[in-house]
Amino acid sequence: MSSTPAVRRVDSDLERQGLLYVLSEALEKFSRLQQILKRQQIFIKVEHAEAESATAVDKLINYLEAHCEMFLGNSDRVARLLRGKPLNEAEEKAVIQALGILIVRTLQIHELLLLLPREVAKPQASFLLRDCFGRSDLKASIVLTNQFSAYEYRFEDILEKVNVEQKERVALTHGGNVLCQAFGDKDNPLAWAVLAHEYGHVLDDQDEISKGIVRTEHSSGGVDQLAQQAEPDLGADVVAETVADFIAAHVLGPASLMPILFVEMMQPRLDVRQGMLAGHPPTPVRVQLVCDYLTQLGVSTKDFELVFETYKLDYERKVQEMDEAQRNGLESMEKQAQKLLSPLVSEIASKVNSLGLQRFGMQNVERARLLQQSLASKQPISSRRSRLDSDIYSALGSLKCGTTTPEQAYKVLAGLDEVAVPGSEIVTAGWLYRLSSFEEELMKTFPDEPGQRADLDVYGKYVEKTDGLLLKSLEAADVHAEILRRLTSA
Amino acid sequence: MATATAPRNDIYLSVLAGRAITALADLAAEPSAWNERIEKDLRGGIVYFQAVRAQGGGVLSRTSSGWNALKRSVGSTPGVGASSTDFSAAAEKFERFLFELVSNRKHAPQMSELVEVIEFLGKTATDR
Repeated sequence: MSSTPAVRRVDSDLERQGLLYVLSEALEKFSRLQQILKRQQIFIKVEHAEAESATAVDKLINYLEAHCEMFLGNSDRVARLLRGKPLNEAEEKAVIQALGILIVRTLQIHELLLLLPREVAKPQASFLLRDCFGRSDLKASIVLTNQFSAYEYRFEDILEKVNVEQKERVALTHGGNVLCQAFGDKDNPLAWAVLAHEYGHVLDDQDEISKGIVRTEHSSGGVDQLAQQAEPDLGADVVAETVADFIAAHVLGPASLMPILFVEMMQPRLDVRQGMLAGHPPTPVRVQLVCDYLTQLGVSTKDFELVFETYKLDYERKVQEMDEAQRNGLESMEKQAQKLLSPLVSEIASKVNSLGLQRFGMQNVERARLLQQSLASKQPISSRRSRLDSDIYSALGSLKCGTTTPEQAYKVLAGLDEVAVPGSEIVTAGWLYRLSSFEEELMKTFPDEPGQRADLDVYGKYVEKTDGLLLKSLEAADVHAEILRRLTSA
Repeated sequence: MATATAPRNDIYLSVLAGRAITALADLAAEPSAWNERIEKDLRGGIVYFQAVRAQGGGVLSRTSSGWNALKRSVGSTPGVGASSTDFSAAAEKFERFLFELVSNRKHAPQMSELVEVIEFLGKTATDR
């Protein structure tokens, strides 16, 4: 019997980092869901002003709030954990388990939004894709749906699952492709990298990249070998997913992986599914392949290294918590995916590079780092001057009354012209800003004052402001680019 | 053993589990911290275990076939792969633990016991 609890510190910096990431993602998802439900509630009240009885939306709001209240019972402990103050083992476990319950219930309610009237995707999501892929017409619609569909299934996959024949499937997608986005990510441009992956599938289908590779491999027996060991078409799925990952990374850089890693870290356990995770290679394999691909393109992943390392630790811990059969199954999947993909990676990279897409390069990373500072000072980042301020000042200083010609003066003044910031830089700067600012916001949310409960609205407002800045930036950048295009063509 | 009490309609089982977790953590931090709220939340934990046992562990993971088709999940958690008998036995053991804790406030549980119950409550309540 112990009356004096043993005190433990969070074991390592990485473990603490993992907790911070999970907490930030959980509070963000909670806040977004709460906002959606409140908008639905207002809509219902306006539509049915006379109705007094509780609606399904009210029930969902109450359900969410009850779980939030339960979690907030641990406010003191969370505040101490955030500041690296000691907790005993039971307290530490309690925070993790209570947070896990809040996360799982939040995600479940998110899936129930399927049953409510749907909101529509933001036009900025299309602006981002049009800009990244350099296409004025994407020939794709974006719809909001549940998280499982958005993150793991393509529209075409679902048509296949409900046994729609191939010919009908072609007809159904004839009017354009459908890209799915989670309800909760409607206002969250940082999560839209998932759409770039989905659009990668569209390009893959058009150019038959993965099909071509699989056909070649079939003749040599490579893909068949994996398919025989696991599921039919599995090899083809894994190749197609890797093509889509590379396309997303090609246009968006390392930020293309971020939403996937955060969503996965937030889950209390690894969701092991039949076969290879809904066609995807296990995430650590995806991360490694994409990072290697970006290195080949000369793009540094340094800014996101902490996320990758934390994800790795989180994944390993979750694998250890699995029972032996599941663990062995997962490890076997990883080996199979690596074995299948290793010899194909250079061919996939080469085919993706030959698509002629705008490449996210190191200069984009460097510009995104500067833009991050503007976001930190609450400025939208839709445009920037292509010349340095010092060069412009120097050129302005060289203008002489009476000697400078109007042409020379206009040339110097043109240095003040601004260019639209590419969407890929806006998203990358957004991620860099989030990674550098969320901890401080968590501290504000969970103040270090005994007995004071956390105020999740503080974090909600931070999320809302960041969304607002990024949405404004994407919109203004699109308008700016369009004006410049028209001026140029005129 | 406590007598079975039906959970109130306005209290969600996972909330009962979460509150019991919080109460156990409060006791772990300060064994003499007993108050009405802690007692109520531990009693809620007993109700939670009774409900979980009554439904063979499936109370929180009840899924429609449609959901399953989409989710394609294999395996579950509370003692992943454990039989419903093992599960019920564990739930009964922890229910008894909470009952003894509430009945005899002076009983100071070991840290390992508290950790075990907290983990079981958390895992069963997050099993989807």
